[in-house]
Amino acid sequence: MKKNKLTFLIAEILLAAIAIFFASRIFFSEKPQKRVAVIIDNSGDEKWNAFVNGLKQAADTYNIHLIICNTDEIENGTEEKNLINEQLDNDIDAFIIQAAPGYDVHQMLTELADQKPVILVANDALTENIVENIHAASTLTKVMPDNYKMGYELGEEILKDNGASLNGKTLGIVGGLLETDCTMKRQQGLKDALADSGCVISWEINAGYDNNVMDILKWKAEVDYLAVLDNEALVQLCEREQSIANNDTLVYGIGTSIKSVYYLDEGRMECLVMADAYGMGYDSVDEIAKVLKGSVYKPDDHVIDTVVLRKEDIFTEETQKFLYTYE
Amino acid sequence: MNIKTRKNYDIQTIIMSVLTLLTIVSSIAMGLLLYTRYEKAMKQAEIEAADTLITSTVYSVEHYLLNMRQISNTISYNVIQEQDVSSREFNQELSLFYEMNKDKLQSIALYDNNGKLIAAEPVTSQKENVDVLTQNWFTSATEEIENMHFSTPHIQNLFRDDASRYHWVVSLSRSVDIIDGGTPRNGVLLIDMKYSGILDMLEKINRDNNGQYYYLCDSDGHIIYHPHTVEINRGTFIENNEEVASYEDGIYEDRINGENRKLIISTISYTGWKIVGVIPIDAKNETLIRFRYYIITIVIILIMMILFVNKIVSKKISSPILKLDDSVKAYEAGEKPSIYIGGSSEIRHLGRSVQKSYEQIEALMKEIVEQQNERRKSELDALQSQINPHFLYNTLESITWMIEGHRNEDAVFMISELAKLFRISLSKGKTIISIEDELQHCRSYMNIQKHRYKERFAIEYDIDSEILTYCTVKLILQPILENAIYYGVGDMDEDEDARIIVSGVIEDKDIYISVEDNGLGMREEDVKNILVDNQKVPKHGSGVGLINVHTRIQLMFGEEYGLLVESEADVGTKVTVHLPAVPYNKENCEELEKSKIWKG
Amino acid sequence: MKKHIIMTIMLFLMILIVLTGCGKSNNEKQKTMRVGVVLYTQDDAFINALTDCLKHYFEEMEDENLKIIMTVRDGKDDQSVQDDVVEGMIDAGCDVLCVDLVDRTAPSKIIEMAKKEDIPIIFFNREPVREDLMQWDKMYYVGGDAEQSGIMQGEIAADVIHADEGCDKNGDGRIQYVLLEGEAGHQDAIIRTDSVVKTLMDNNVKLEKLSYQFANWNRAQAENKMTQLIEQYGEEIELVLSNNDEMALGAVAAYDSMGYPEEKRPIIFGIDGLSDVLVAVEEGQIQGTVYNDKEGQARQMAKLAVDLYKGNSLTGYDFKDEKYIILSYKKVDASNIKEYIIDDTGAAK
Repeated sequence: MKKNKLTFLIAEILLAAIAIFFASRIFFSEKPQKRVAVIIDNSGDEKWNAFVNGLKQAADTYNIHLIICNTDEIENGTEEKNLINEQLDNDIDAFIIQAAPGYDVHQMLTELADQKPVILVANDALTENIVENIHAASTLTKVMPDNYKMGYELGEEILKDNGASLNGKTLGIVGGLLETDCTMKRQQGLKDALADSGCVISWEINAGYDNNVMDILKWKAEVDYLAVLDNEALVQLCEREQSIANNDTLVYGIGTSIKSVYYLDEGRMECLVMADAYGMGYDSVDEIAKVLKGSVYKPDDHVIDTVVLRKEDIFTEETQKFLYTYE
Repeated sequence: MNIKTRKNYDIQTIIMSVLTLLTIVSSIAMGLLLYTRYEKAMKQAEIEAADTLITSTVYSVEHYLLNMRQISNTISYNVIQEQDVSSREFNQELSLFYEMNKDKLQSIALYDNNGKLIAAEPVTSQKENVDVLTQNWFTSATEEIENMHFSTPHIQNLFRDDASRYHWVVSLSRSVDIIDGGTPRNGVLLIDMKYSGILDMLEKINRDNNGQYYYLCDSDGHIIYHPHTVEINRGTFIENNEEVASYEDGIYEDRINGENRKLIISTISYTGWKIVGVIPIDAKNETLIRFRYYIITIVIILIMMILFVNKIVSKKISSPILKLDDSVKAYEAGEKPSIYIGGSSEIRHLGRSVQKSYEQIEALMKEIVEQQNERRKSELDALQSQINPHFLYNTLESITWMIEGHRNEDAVFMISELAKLFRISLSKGKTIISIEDELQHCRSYMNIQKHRYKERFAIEYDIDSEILTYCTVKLILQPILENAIYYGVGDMDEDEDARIIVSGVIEDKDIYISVEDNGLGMREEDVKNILVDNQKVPKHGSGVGLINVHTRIQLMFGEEYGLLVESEADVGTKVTVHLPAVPYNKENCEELEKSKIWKG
Repeated sequence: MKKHIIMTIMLFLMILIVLTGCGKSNNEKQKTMRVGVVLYTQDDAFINALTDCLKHYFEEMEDENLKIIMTVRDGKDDQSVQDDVVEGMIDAGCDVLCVDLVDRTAPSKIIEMAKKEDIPIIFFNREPVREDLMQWDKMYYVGGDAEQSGIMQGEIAADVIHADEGCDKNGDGRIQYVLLEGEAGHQDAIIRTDSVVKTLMDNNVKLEKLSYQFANWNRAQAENKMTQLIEQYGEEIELVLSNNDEMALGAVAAYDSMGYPEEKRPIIFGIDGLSDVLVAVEEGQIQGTVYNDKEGQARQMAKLAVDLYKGNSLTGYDFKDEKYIILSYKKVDASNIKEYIIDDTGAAK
């Protein structure tokens, strides 16, 4: 008799446990969304439109809550660290970060990567050995275009237009922010492409947050070619060109906003090298989602495609599809 | 030899198991049925909802496109065909149309067949080096002049924009007849609709739809809007839009990338555009999953409750049976429990039957015991009558010889002793007499025997006076004495000093009366057999005597009492009578006479 | 005894280290204020200029205890997009919002979201409906007074007309004018149009209306419309009133391309005070404009934002109805153009 009672009690308890389990699943079946913070400079700027489209589309697919941090210029590692800390307090599970300028950023980000998954976009964190070896890369996961290659391709385009010889021609280089990986790599790539061309580099300047590139250019000697390796500088240059009469300088640029395509269309530059920003956004969220799903997953680097655009290419179907990502 | 013992399950377990099995099976079956039905209903509802949504969206898009076509028509017929394009009214009317529909239109433009711009609203400058003749909207309009042509979404490549922006548009183009400075010409009217109009309509229905989505494509399958356009372009998403475009309106099932889906296709009139709703069949609908858990929880709770009820029911049914069974078991174990009467009518009936049976058994047992007692009594009586008749003959003969020999005193003595003997033998039919009387009986007997045996032996009496007033079965000493004489000292010579000693003591609750002789004795085997089996004992007269006495004592008082025989050949024999010490009084006698076994 | 002494010294050292550590961390408390600026479009030159001023003023107000991060986002001329943008900004962490609404009648969603997170809103440039603004006490509006701009335009025009008889080219005592309107149904356009005409008439200028045309606040469209008007009326046009500077510049461009010499052109007035127009005023192509005090507005917005963030009392402000900070427009014509030219090249007032 007693055995009966015992069996009965055990059965009831077991069933009750299962029932509670399923009942709880009814109410708590919603898995909290993973939260990913995106830290990029001037996050509201137009240049990130395609990137943000990619981020959002992937976030939608992978059910991730995206927080695009409100930023303006991120001038150094300390500012970036403050932003990161603020988000760490905000229950963030992972970060997608554009590395700030400076040599101290790499360590700060590597330390962060120990706590939470980190993916770098747009440009790498500067490592000390970049001076000796331009191809040096950080150990963090990177989803970005090959900045060196972009500079190199731009150089090649300049060569192409001149039958591979630039003897005696002058070139002015407008780079991006100092102490950033992308600026250094692009500049070096460009120079390497033009190394044997006979081209003379008249001057090199760097755009900054507080200045308008046109103000600096005013004081520089006129050159035959102008290579603009930074999107802001490119847009500023082309904007102002509206009111300045066309001089003979041929502009070649690297850009990320659709405005730069428009200016290419207008003939204000000869050639534009762009990266697939949508892809950068999409792939970075894709990788983050995979990391957040399973703890053993090691995220892969992605090298984002780049396109070289000329005016006649803009309205081809290929390019139209590419430009659709900016909508 | 292996005997497999089948486990015998008790009734409660059987009932419980069967009921439990039944419960579980039926609950699960019911749960499954409910769930599948609900699932089906939900899927059906989902499809119907999607269908409704598509219908309304088709209506909206048709309405929108109709609107565009009407604008195109009106401009074409009422403006272009009426007005000369070089006139001011023409520009004003065109301007009016544009202003009225600014929110939906990007621009209105009129070109001649050579691709030259005649008029445009809003006013802005053209892009340099744009070849209108190669653009799709132009070629399709000029190739088929009777129809209006809708293009797929593209970036407008005609005008400069002050804000340096590109605009995504869907072009509606048609061939028109222009009057230019009096001369009729052919041209193309281009109305560029803002893509955002269509985008907004379709984005709205594509929000949060549990894996469902809707897309818009033209009659050749080219995508006009798809929530995953970019992914399709990049190759990370696969859609079979080109195939689907050729289907008729309706609901289809297909399979892509291992996923089953239902497609709802609806055509938008005039343009041949199609809205396709894609509903993944396998998709884990949140509500469905919740419902699944809900059903499982309910089923489990149901099972729990019913199990509990089962337990109570089975207990209620089996408990009377078990109680009855316990009563019977207790009874079998030797107790005398009251039989449980309870439960259903059948159990009650069983209980009562069992009780009755037991009562009958009790009664029968009692009868048997009584009968046995009766029998014992008659046995005793019978046994008592097994007294030696030879003694009487011999004694009467001795008396006759005494009378013939004129030994009258001896004869008188013999007769009076005999009379005493017989008086006590009869004892008014009683079985129990006092030990005093019994000893008197012995004396009488021995006196008679002494005469007969001419005083060849001596008889001594060593009796504890206390025992005289205790009870005994009558006629127990005489046979022992008889044996002692016949088998003990009877054949001994005069000079051998044959003697018989009768002694009697009381020890607490026991009385021991012994008859000891120093006669021939018995062999050991005979000692053993003498109280048991009368066949083996050689008879002088009837050896029944000792067994008779022993049995009678035991019948009266119990097996722990009786005779004890000790003998050694050529030494002597001692027979001890063991009696309980029962004081000789009225009550005790009455009780013993009733043949109740003495229980000390 | 020795052991005791060593222990005490070590304890003392440890306490010292801890204290200094604590002291150090106290100094690193620099607060960061996040300002979210949401525009209705990124193609409006005036708004872009105002935003630049705003940034400038915020930078001025930073110090070692306060860092200000200003993020600018675009509403893409779609209210639902602007609502989503605000949602995203609030989600990412925002202390103060500055919003230039796409649709001034539809701020409810934004107000709801901000109220929930207790984030004050400063509306600017496009004024929300009064009832909406009164919904919550932490909402403000900073902007100009459209009516005032129209009145001022009327006043400077009246001044010019009265000062120079040659304005009435045909000498009939009436000024024949055309008006370039911003947008049909647009609040500012309606008010400006209305008030400038009324002011002129109040100032004893007799007007004869030739034509009103819509040019969408747009230079090229205005040029086109102006060209048509010139073709239609030719030299009859004595006065061109424009709801904004861009369209005024378009009118100038029309006359340029038609090759009209200066004496045959009408007087032209705009509103906004864009740098191009200031140049044109200086050169005499445009006779006057009304300066929309973007510096003043930006400064007020910046101050208000910081005060709201710090929780300071708001007694120092010149509130109208406790919520409105209205900055005056300023008349700009040939007489005072020099002030504005100098001040506009970078230095803020």
